[in-house]
Amino acid sequence: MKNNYRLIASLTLLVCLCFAPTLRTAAQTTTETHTPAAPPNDGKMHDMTITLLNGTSVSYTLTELDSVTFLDGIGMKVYTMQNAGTSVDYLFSQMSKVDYLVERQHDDLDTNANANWNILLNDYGDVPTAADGQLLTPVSGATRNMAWRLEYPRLNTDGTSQVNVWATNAYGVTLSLEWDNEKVANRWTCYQMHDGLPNNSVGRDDTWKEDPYIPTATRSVDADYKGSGYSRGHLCPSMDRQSARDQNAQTFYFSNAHPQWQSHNGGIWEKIEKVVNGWGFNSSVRDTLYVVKAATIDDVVLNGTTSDGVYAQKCNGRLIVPKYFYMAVLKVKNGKYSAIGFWTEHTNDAQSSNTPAKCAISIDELERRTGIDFFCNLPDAIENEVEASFQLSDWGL
Amino acid sequence: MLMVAAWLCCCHLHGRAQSMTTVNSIAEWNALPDNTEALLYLAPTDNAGKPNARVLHAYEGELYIRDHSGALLVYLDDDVVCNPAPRHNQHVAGWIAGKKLTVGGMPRLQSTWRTNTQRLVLAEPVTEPDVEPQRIAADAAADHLADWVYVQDVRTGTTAADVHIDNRFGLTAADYWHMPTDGSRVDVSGIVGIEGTTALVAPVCYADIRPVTYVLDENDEQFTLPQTAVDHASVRLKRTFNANEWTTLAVPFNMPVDGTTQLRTFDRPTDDGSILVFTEADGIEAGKPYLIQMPTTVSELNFRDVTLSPAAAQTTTTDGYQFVGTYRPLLFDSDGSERLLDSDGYLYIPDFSDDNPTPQLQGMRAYFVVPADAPQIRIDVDGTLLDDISGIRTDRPATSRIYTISGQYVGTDLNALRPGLYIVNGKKLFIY
Repeated sequence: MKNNYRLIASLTLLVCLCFAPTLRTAAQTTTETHTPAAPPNDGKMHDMTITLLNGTSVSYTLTELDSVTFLDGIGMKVYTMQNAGTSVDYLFSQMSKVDYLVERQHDDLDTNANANWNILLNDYGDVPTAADGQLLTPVSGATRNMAWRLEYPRLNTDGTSQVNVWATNAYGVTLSLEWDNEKVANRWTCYQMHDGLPNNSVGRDDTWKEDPYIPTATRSVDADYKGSGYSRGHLCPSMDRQSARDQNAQTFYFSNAHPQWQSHNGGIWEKIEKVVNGWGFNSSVRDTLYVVKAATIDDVVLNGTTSDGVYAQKCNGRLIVPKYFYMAVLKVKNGKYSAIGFWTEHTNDAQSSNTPAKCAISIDELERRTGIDFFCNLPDAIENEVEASFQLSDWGL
Repeated sequence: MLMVAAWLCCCHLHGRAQSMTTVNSIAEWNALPDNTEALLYLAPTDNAGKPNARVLHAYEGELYIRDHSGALLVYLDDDVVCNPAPRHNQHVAGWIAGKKLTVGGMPRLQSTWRTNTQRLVLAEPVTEPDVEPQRIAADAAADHLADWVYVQDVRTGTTAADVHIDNRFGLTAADYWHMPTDGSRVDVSGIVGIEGTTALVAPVCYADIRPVTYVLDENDEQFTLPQTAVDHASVRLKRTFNANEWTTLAVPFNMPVDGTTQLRTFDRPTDDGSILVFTEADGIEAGKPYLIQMPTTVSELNFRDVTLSPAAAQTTTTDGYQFVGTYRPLLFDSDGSERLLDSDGYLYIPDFSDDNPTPQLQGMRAYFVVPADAPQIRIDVDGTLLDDISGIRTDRPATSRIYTISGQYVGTDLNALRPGLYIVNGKKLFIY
C-alpha cells in the first residue's frame, strides 16, 4: 500500500518541522526554468524563495510555512502559519526560479520562539451526504488544508467521516482526528512531536468533554462510559501534550478516546505509550515524530482472514469496542526517515509479559491488517522504504 | 493528466469508485449532460502557450471564469471555502470537482461535497496582461453566458432590446454605477446571465472599464439625454472629424480638447448679413455650438470622468442670426432660413425630398438660422473668409442625388439605375 495511495500522485510537499541539532552552512539548490523542479525529494519542508518574472521575490521561512501543495506542471499553493487555511498561489509560468534551502539553520525557532505560530481553526467538517466518495476529503474549511500534513493517514472517503483539528494559539495543531459518524467512533488520532512543542510538564487537565464539532447525534458523551466498566482510553495521550494547559485540555475530548479496559489501558498500551512519549520529547531521537494512534473500528485482516474489528458487545449499548489498538510512528532525523507500527489485542488483561518490541510490526503489515494507508503524504520512494520493514535497534527496543 | 490518472487508479484499487469523468475545458464542461458529477481540469496555458483560464468576477458564491474555450459560472455553496479568496483577474489552473447543472438556462459547475480548491491554483498575475472583456454586439450577448463582456450600443429601458441591464452585483456610485435613463444608448461592461431568452447583463467595474459608457452617436435619431446630470460619466463619441477641416459641433458635456484642436464660437454677423464672424473659444462647454478643426481624422473619441448635462443643446444668437446645436440628426424642410455649412465656405439651403427623407444634418452638430430671404452667406474665421481651400467638412449628404435627363428624381443609388442618361451633381452620366 504505497505508491498508488497518495492523495496526489505528484510530489506534495508537507510541513515537517525539522530541527537540525547543529548550525549548518546553508546549501542552496537553484532552479532556473519556468517549470521549476520540485523541492528536494526528502519529504521535508524547506525554506523557499520564489523569484517572479517581474523581478520581485517572495521568501518563506520554515517557521512561516504550514504546508505547500506542489501541483506538477501547474503551480504551487503555499499555506502559511500566519494565515492558516488560506493559501497564496503561484503558477510555475510566473516564476523565473525557486530556491530551496536544503539545510535549514538551527536558530530559526530559538530566535523566533513561536512568533509565527498562530491560531488554526477549530473547524469541523461537514458530514458528507454522498456515500460513494472517491475524491479528496469529506471535510471542509481549514481542516482540508491540514490533511496534507505528514502525520495524516489517507482520509476515509466512504462519506460517513469527518476530520476535526484541535489547535492552540501558541502551539498550533494539537491533534487531528477522523470521526466516523455512522459508527460513532474515532478512526484515528494523529499528531506531531518536535522541539516546537516542548515538554513544559503542564500536567493533566482531566476534564473530559464532548467534542462540539461533531453532530450531537453522533458524538460520544459521558453517559456512554458511565458505569460501563470501560475506561476512556486516550488515543493522543495527555502525556504527549504538555506544552500548554489549553493544549493538554484538547486531549480530553471524548472524540479522542475509545472504550478500553483499564487493564489494557494501564498495561501493555501504556508501556508502548511511554516508549513513544520518550521518543517524542527526545531531540536526539528525532527531529520530528509523526504519530498515529487508533483502534480497529472496521474489518481486520489477520493472516489473510477478514474479521470484524470490534466486539459484538457494545459499551453501554452504544459505543463500539475495538478488538485491537495500534500505533503508527514515523520519525525523521537528519533527513532520514524510519517508521514502526505497534499492534495490541484489546483484552481485559494487562498482558504483563508482553513488551513493545513484541508488539512491533511494519507499517506495511499494519496497513494490511487495517486497510488504512498510513503516512500517505510521504514521497513514494521514502514511503516504500520506511513502510516495508523496521529495525528494533533503530528505535532502541 | 498523470496526476488524475494516478488518482483514479488509486480509487480503483480501493475497490470503491468508478473513475469520475474529467473534462479539459469549459466548453467540454458545458457540453456535459446535466447532473453529471465530473472533474474540470483547467490547463495553465492554452494550446498557444498563452495563459489560459482567468477569474472574471467573484460575487458571494458565484465565481465566473473563462478559459480559451468559453466561460462558466462556478457556483459554490456556503460550505465550500475557495482558497485563496477568488478575485477578478486571477489565473485559475488545476482541478475542481462539481456537478454540471443548467439553472435558468445557464450552465454551471455546482459545488458538491467533493468540491474544494486544494488542487486549484488561483494566482494573481505577475507580468501577464489583464483579463479583458469580450467586445460584442448586443444581439450576440446570449452567446456569451457567464462571460465578462463589453456590449456595445445597448438601448436601455426598451423591452425589445437584446440586452437588459440588471445591477444584481450591487454596484454603487463608488463603482461609477448609475442606472442610465431609459432610452439612452450605452456600452455596458458586465457578466452575462439570461432570463428566458433575454440576456441580462450585470454590470461590473474593473480596471479602466466603467460599467456604463454613454454612446453619443451622430447617427442616433433616438438620442436621449439623461434626466439628471451624470458625474464621472464615461462617453464614447461617435462623430467623424476630418483632419484639418472645419466642422460644426455641439455635445452635452464639457469636452476636453488639446492645444492642437481649433475652436471658434459664433460672434456676430457683419452689418449686411453676408458674413458670420467667428472668434476664438477657450474650450467646449456642454450644449454650446462651435466650429471645430482637428489635426487628425477621427471617427470616435472616448472620454472619462466628464459630466453629462441633461440640458438640451443651445443656440447662440446675435442680431437675429442663430447658430443652433443639435444632438440628434435633423431633417429640414427649409424655407431658406435653416442653412448648413458647405465645403466652399458658403451656407447652403438643405434640400428636402419626400423621396429621400433622410436627415441632411447628422447629430452632435450645429446649423444656422438666418432670415429666409438672406443672400449667400459666408463664414469668417479670424478675419479670413473660409473658402474651397480652407478645409471644410460639408454637411451635405455624401450621397449624390440622381435625376433623369427630364429632371425626375430617381434616388441616390447608381447601382439601381436602368441603362440611360442621368444628371448627377450637375454632370451627365451614361449608364449602360
